[in-house]
Amino acid sequence: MRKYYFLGVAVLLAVMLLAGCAKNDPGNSSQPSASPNTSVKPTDESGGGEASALPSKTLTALLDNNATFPYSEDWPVWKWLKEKTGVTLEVQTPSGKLSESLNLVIASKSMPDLMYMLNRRESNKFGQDGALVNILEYIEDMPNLKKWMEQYPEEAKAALSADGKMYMFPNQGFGETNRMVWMYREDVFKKEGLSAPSTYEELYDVLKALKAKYPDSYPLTIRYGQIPDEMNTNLAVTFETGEGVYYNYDNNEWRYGPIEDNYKSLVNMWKKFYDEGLIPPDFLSLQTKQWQDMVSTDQAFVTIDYISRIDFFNNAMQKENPEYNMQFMAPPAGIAGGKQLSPYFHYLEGGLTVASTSKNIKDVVKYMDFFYSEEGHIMTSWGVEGETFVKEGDTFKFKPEFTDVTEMRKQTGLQTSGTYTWVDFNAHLSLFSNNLQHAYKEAVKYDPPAMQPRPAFTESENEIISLTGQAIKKQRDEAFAKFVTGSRSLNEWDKYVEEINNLGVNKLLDTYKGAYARVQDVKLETK
Amino acid sequence: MRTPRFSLFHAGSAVVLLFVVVVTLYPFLHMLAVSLSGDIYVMKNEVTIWPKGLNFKMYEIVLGDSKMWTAFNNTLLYTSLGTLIAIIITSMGAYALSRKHMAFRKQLTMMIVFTMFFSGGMIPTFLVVRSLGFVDTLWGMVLPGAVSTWNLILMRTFFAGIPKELEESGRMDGLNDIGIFFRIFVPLSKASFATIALFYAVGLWNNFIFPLLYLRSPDLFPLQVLLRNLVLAGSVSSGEVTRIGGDNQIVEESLKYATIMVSSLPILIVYPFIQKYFVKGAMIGAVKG
Amino acid sequence: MAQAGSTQDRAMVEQALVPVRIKRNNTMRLWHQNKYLWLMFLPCLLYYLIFRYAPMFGLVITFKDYNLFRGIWDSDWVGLKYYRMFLENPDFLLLMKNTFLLGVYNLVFGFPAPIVLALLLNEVKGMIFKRFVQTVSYLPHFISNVIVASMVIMFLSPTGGLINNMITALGFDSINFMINPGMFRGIYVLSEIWQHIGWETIIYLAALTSVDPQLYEAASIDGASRMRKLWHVTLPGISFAIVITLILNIGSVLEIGFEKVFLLQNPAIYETADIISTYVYRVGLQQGNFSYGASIDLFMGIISLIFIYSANFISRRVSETSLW
Repeated sequence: MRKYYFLGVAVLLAVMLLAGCAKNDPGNSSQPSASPNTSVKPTDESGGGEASALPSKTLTALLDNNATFPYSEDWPVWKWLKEKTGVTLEVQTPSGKLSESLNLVIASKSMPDLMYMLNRRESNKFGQDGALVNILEYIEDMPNLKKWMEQYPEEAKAALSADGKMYMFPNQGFGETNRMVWMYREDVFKKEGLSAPSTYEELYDVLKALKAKYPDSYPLTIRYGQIPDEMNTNLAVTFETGEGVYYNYDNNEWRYGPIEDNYKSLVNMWKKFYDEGLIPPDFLSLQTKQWQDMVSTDQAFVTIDYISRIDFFNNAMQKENPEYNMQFMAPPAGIAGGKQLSPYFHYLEGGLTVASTSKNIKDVVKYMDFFYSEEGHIMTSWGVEGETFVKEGDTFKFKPEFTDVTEMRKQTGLQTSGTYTWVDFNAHLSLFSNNLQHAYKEAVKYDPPAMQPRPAFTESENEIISLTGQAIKKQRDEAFAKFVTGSRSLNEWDKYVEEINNLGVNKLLDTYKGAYARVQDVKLETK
Repeated sequence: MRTPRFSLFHAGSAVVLLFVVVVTLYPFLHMLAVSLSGDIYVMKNEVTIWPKGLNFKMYEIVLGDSKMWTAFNNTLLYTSLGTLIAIIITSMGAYALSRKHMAFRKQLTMMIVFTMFFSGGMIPTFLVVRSLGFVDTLWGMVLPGAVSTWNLILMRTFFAGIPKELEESGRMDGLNDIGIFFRIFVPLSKASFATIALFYAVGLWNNFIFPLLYLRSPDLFPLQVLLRNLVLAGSVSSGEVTRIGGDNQIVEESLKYATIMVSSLPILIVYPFIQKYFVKGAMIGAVKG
Repeated sequence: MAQAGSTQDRAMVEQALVPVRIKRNNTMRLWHQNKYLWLMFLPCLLYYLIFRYAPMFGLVITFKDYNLFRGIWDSDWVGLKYYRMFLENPDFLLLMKNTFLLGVYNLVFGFPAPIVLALLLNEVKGMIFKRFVQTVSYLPHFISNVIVASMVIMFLSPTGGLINNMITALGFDSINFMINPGMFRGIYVLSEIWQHIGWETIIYLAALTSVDPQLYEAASIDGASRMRKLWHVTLPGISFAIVITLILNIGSVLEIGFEKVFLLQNPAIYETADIISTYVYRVGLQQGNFSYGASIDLFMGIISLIFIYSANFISRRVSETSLW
């Protein structure tokens, strides 16, 4: 049997040789396409003269990759960017989750020039650790960004870290798809002679009526188990409170929502729904699939979710049931005579950052400056006139081959990771169904007066938020769950308030107040 | 007294085993059916074991990507090479540790078990591998997992369970330790080799941590990376990936299941061939002979 | 007799050299006896030194405020800060208790299950049926935790899950399993057994092949019943595999994979379902705080080491098999 063993070793050696050959294979497509991307399109358009005069540069970048429209180096958007800026990007995509790849790349100190990060917390942390460039130091080389910051001071300020530096390029215009809204089955309501509620009392009546007609249903169903934090915010806002620490614009102060009376009303209402079978008894663990099932099988008629779900359900269900009509519903008011409000989710925190070890910082900032010019704004939203869009008077319209947003991304690479900062959201809107467009228009009416401030925290503040904040959050979640499901009596409300206060609510509030005050004092100083 | 053909024991055992079959097979068939069903039926939860609205859309998505075949080949390479390396190193090491007369046996075993509880962590390990130049090469996939302490201990246990007479007869024949290992132990341990090789192979096949840490070029990516990314992208709820608020229309469930089918099918095909090694009394002939 | 003088000389020289020879002999003997074994162990040793021990310098980040960019050596020293943070956490005892209990339940119920199944399979005469059951039984092992968790939740749903459908069909009220803290451990352990039982029988089935069939024959001749054969032939025959696997499992009783617990938990059942790794995930890792997560891992590692040491110690006293 020795021969089997030696056979194994021989195979091993053979495979090693083969593998060695494969490794040296020059056909590695990770090689930069620094070779001039010959754009042979005869319809080559405006600005041609300027482009050919720009020096060619190659920069490295780590960008996120979404498998629905996977990164392709052949995307037209790269070609267009090169024409306008002379820069070719050598792109690296993560072999897992982006944040894991970022950790490795930074720890190994071999960072690409540009790195996309998903949120400010990450970019601020890495920036303060020394890994990223303070963009404000180079503001004189970025005239477009300077002008843009005067136009959008809030967005610019939001991109600042606790030490007043800017580590991530600010963005605007893209977060709209993150909107969460209430929606309801208009067809079913019409059939039962019901109209869309504007207060929780009306909502309760409508739900009861539906339950009576459809006893097996749970008329209000949300996928709380899947995205509890977002759901908590949605609910709290309708009662004019907050799901955690929040900034109250009426009184201009920071408050902690879950101990307020309004919050108690919310819990009361939710418990009423639970007890009367108007929401599913397992809402706490309801996942996406189950929720989808219920909404598609007439087991739920009112829900809260991302705005694009309107099209999601209508497109799928109308094939079988043309009557199926999911429509935008204005958020009901929780407080008598109160406002109807949606949470402010429509912002995006991700963006590009510049490595402090980069040898090409000046080139990088010049490249990024293009994105903040009017030309860049249009190009990264719509593409190139004649190639991807046409102008009808003052309105832009995509060419018909782009049937929806995903198609548009797949074909052009527009609005994928690293290809935009300042986006004209109408570019997306124009590709949505009429229904969805209507929803967007309506949704805006119920926006809160402003975004919840998201001040950048120092490391010691972050620690408090992690530890104290987590303990408080856990307590809040547990209490909510137990109050609603009845395992804890609402008579214990005051006791609960005391317990949670003892965990350090005031300390948490002070932390936010301090950070916020610091941000207010910061002027967008540019060196 | 002859034991009756069909006793109470047989009946009870059959019931239990059938229960096991149903409980483990049903979900798998369900997933297979869902992955082949039209999305409206999946959304309405009407699929049980048989596909409804048979369509291969999910498989088109999963398999249609040309990168998928590169990835598949990569996985085959990593798995076969990795298992081979692992089994050679592990079996030799396990054999050595199984000899009670080996000097420093206790200390070496303790040293190995210690690593089960303490590890430097992801980043230091990454830095070590990087300093060896293995990043973005196939060695980064195949070497960091070459020995699993669990498998090593198990194999050592199997070797220790083989009767001492066999070793002694080998010595009488004038063989040294290496000879005894190759000539006597290896042929007798088909079951344990098969088992441990299977464990390594499955581990390598499903591994997505090593590519995450050590691979950069997309054409070195194995199957699991692509599949995992596919599922992450199609999953509207993971705010981590890209907070684009869910403007994709893939019904995640079918996609997830399709990817499971694709990634587990090859192992399922291979396993029955290994089963023949699990034959009773494989080594008994040697003692008598 | 011409050699007589030299023989005597030789004897004298030999006598003088004896002590040196003995010393050289001992080291030489050690080398001779073990050189092949050490050679065979060498690749293994290299592996551990390079891939396991070399990175252990990273453990020092538990005493530092790890700055990813500056690197491990240049990060600030903070001493026991993170350990203190962990131990002073108000939930610390609860988390430890939950982790421990979940691990123990898993061990007590999950450990014997594959053994029982392996033994049952062993008794099956029909080859085809046996192979079929075995192959099918390990299918769940390939289903990822994410899917298993969502399957469990759907299965137990009070509004249409299979279990509750059966319960209501029998006339009882449906049970909301997932919000009942007392049921969490049972649910978790059952899902673990379902997912891994088939795969874990493989080891035992392999061990069963080493049992001499002649022992069975001899037992039959002696008139032994099935149970007696099981007790006196089969179990002793695979005891080595059982004992070692048991010791290894005791050593990892606290290492509960965070993914499935995280997916199965919800705020209503935190009091039993929140364990150390899910807590670390929320606080440590989500904030990118490697040092904190690593300190907790180190702490848990020490405890697990104590467990396995004790298990091994007891095993050495009580049986012939032990890890070391």
